[in-house]
Amino acid sequence: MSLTMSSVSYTYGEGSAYATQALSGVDLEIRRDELVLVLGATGSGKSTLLRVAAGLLAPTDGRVLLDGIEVTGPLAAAEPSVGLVFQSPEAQLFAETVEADVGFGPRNIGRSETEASEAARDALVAVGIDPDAFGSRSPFSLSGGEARRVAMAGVLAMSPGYLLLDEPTAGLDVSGREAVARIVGAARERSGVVVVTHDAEEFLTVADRVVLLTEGHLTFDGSADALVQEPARFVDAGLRVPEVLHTQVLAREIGLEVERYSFDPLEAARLLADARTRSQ
Amino acid sequence: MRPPVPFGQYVPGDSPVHRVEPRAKMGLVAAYVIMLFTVGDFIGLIAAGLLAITAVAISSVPSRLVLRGVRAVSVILAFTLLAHGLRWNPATVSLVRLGPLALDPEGLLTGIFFAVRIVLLVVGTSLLTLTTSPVRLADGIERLMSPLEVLRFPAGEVAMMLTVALRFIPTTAEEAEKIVVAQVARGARFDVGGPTRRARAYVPVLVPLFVSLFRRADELATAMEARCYRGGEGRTRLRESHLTLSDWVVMISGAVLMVGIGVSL
Repeated sequence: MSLTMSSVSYTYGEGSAYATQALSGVDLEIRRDELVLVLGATGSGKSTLLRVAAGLLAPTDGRVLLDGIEVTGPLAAAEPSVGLVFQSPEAQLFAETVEADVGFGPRNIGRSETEASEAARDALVAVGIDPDAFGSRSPFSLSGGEARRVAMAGVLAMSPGYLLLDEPTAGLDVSGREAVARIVGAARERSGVVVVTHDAEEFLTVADRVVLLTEGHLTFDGSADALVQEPARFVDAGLRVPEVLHTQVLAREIGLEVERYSFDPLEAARLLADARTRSQ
Repeated sequence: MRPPVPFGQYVPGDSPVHRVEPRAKMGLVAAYVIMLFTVGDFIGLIAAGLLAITAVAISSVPSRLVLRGVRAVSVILAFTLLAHGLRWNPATVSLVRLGPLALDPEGLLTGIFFAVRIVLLVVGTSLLTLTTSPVRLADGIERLMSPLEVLRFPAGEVAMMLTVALRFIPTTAEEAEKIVVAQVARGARFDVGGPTRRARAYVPVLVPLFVSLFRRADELATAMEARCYRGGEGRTRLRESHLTLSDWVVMISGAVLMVGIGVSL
């Protein structure tokens, strides 16, 4: 049970004067029981990776397989389905009411009106929006954080087997980010989840696996713990080293014998304290 | 990541065609259009075609980008051919006959003549936008319109509107594409059903697109006002564009040649 990309390459405007290679020979397997964090700088091909994985773009080279079957088109209605939450998904809200907008996806894949309405209400509850209070409101009257959560509900309502999220916390305040993190945490119980971001700290502690994309190439695929032992990889990928990790790197530079690096703030504090004790 | 280049979008370059001043290019295009509509036979069209091919070759713009514009009018070309070529129950000899419907050789030849004229029109005019940046094009239009300012015509404002509109064509296309893909990811289908159903399928695209465009227009207007934009009056230009002697020579000799071909062939 996996969504697999095998030697996938993608070039925008192939054959034109503006041809731009976004992905180059990417091999990636996403299982139903894991949360994969995809990190990369702007323009590294993260969003393209998600579009190809959701069957919205056909790779110019290589193959995408859903549970062993080659993907030939959008996977919104496949079994299991692949749901994709785009960056700033609130920009796709259009219906007269929140409930109608969230029910748009289920109706498109053939659910009855009752089923679509139920799925919409369940999805709204899952994202922390009260369907009774918000269901009949216009999606254009919502705040930025509410609109983001409603847009995510629009994808969750389709009960995806794999949930792909493109920069889900971009532009949100602290409470909005926490709400999105809770939604992602709940979603991983039911689906394979892929989160794409250039802000590592947000999901590093909850990811089962981390993938690094650098200029369209997959340059790292392993555990978050393995990645943080090599902070230079962040820099090489054009990313900011997470603050908690940067502190430990600096501690080593000034002579403290930090045993190992950790991205967990509490564990990092303990490691630093131990290093200080040893040095005294 | 960049989407595919829309038809007619500027291709940066430093060819002799790129370097010609936009007003001179617009004058040449006007003369070219006059030529196309005055030539009366295929010899004239061949001469116009040779001129267009030469200009494309000098411009170094990939020919497939030029021909992309022709693809965009393929329906009009097909309609032109059929409208001239098909006859209902003709008495004359036909190439192909399907019941009372027949393909008339003389009509087909007339259709080909008009279709070639459309192709050459598209090639010539798209070469103008392919080799002139939107800003220089708008600047050229503003200068051409500037004599009308004595009649209180807002040439500067019209040119600014044109610049902004041209600037936002690729952005709008990109935004529309993003929304289409986002709705497809929610199971929307745009390729099923009859015309009414297909038209209705675009509601989930058009509503957010217009909301986004109005929001963007509002933000742009505020941002322009914040940077002291008060209309065209008193504004100076970053780059002053002047018609040089070589621009005049190219424009006048080219225009005389083309109008001459148009009148004589």
